Amino acid sequence: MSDKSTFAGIFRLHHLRLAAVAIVLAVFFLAFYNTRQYPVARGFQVNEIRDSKNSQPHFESHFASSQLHVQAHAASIVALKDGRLRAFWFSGSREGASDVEIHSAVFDPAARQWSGETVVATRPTTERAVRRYISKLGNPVCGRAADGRLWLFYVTVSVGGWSGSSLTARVSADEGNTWSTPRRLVTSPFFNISTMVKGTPFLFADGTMGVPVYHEMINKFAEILRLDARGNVVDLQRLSSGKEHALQPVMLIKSTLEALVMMRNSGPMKPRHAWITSTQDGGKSWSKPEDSGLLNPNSALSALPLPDGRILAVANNQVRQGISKGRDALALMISGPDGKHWKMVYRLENHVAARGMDLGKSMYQHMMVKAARHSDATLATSSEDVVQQYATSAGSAMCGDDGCGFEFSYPYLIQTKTGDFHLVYTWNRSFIKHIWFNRAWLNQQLQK
Amino acid sequence: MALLRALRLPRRVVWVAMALAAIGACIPVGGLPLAAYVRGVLGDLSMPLLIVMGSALWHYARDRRQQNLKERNILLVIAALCGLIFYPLALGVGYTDPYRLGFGNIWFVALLLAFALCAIYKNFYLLASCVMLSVLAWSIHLYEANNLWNYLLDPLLVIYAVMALAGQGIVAVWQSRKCAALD
Repeated sequence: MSDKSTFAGIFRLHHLRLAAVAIVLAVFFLAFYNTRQYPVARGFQVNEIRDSKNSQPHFESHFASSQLHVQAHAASIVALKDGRLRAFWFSGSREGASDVEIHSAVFDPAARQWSGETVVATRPTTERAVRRYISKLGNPVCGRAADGRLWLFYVTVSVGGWSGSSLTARVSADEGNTWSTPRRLVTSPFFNISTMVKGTPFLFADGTMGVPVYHEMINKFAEILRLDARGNVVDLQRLSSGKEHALQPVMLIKSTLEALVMMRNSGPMKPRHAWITSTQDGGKSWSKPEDSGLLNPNSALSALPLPDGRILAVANNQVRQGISKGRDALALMISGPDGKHWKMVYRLENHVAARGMDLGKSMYQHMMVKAARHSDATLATSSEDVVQQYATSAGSAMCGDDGCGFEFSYPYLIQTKTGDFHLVYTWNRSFIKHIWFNRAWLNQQLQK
Repeated sequence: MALLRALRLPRRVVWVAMALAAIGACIPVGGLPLAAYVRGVLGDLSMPLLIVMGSALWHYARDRRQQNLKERNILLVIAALCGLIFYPLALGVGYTDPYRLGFGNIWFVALLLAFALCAIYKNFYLLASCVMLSVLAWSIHLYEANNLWNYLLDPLLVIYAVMALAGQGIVAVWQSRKCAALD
C-alpha cells in the first residue's frame, strides 16, 4: 500500500512537472516571437541637403517667442513640409514652476515672421493623460518620423528636481496643429526616472527613430534612445559612463555608417571641453568619449555636419582667466571632420565684458534695449516703448540679489533641405531667439 | 505580513484597514486618484514582487505560515544579488548597461528559459512562476515598459529582499547567542 501511494505521488509529481514545462515552453515561444519587435540598428539615414537657391549671403534674426514677463527656455525647431519652421520651448513664471507649459510658434520664411505662441502641452493635461502626478514640465524636442509624422518629446517630473524626470511623447499627423494624447516612455529600470532630452532626433536606416537623451541621477551619462514607428522604445544605447559626466548628446550623421556625437561636459576638470565619440559601423559600437577641444562651460551645445565633412557648432566658448566659464557669449564654431580642431566663425552674442561689473539699473536697461533691437528685425524699427518693454521683461528674468547679467544658452541648430541654417536659443531667459542664415553667408564668414 | 502577525491585530481589523486603504487609493485629489501620486513615484511593480506580496497575503488569509520558506529565501537572495549588481551598472557605473539586454535580446530570453526549466527540475515552482509570469507580461505588453527588466525586477523588491534577508540574519545571530548563553 505504501509503495503504491509513493508511486502515485511520483506519478503526480511527474505529471505536474511536465505540465509546468509545457506552460513555460509555450510562454517562452511567445517571448521569442516578441523579440522580433526589437530590430537591430544597421546604419543611419543621411539628410539630403540641396545647395541654397539664394546665392546672396543671408543672415537675419527674430524673436520666436512673443510673451512678455515670462521665462522661456530650451527651444528646439523642426522644418515643416511646406517650407515653414515650427519651434517649441518651455515657458512659465520660472524654470521648474508648476505653471510652465510647452509653447510653439511657426516661422514663415516668405513673410519673414513668426506666428503667435500656441500651447502644446500643460502640466494638468499631461498629468491626466499619463494618469500620474506631474510637478513640472521641461525641455521639448521635435523630430520627424519615417512615416512623415512629427513626434514631440518633453521632460516631465513627478517628484524632486530634473534628475527625477522621465520622457513624455506626443505625435502629430498635421505638422503640429493637433497632437495625440501624451504618452509616458519607460527608459530606466530605477523608478523610470532621470531621462532627459535636448538633442535633435534622427532616423536609423530601418526607419526607427533615434533620440539623443541623457541621465543625471547618481551618474551623468549620455544615451541614444530608439523608437519604432508606433513610438515603442526598442533600444537604449549608452554613449558614455558616469566617469565623463557627459550630458545632452548631439548626433552628427556623416554617412550611413559614420557618425559623431558631441556632448556637454559637466565634470569637475577645468578648462572643460565638450566630449566627442564616434561610430564607424552605423551605431553598433561607439568609441570611448574623447576631449573634442571645444571649450564648454558646462552648457548645452548644438552641432551639425556640413556637406564637405566639416562640423559647424554653436557653443558658449568664451575663455576668461584660462577657464571656460559662463553663458554670456555664444559663437558659431567650425572644425575639421574629426571634430577636434575648432576655430570661431562668428560671434553671435558677447557680453563677457559686462561680467562682474556693477552696471547700474539705467546702464543695464540701456544695454538690454540695444541688444533687443539688435536681436529682432521688427523690434529694430519699433517704438521706444515697445523695446523698453522687451528689455524690462528680459531684465526681470536676469536680475537677482547678486546683480544683473546676460545669458545666451541652449542652442539648437538645424539645416533644412534647401541648405539654410536655422538656430534657436534662449535669449536672457526671457525670449527664444531665432537666427536664419544660408551657406553663402557662412562661406563669407569663413573667408574672413 | 510578519509585522501584522507580530502586532497581533485582530484579523477583522486588518481586513477592514486594507479595504479602507484600497478605497482611499481611489479617492480623487486634485483631479487624480491618490494612487496616481504613488504610481507617479513608484511606477509599475515587478511580477516577482506582486507574486511575493500575493503569496504572503494568501497565507495570511488562510492563517498559515508560508510552507516554502527555503524557496522564498532563494528568490530573495537572487533578487538582492541581481539588484545589487544590476542597478549600479544600469545607473552609469562603467560602459556596460545590462538594462539594454531587456530590449528583446534573444540570449537573455534563452537564459531565463534555462533558469525557469532548472527551477522546475528542482521543484522551485515559485521561482519558475516569477520568471514565467514576468516573461508573459512582457510578451503581451502588460505595462507601459517594453524592457523585460522592468517586469523582472524593481527597486522595491530589491530593498525588501535585502531587508528581509538582513532581518533573518540578525534573528539567527541573536538566537544562536541566546542558545550559547543558555548552554
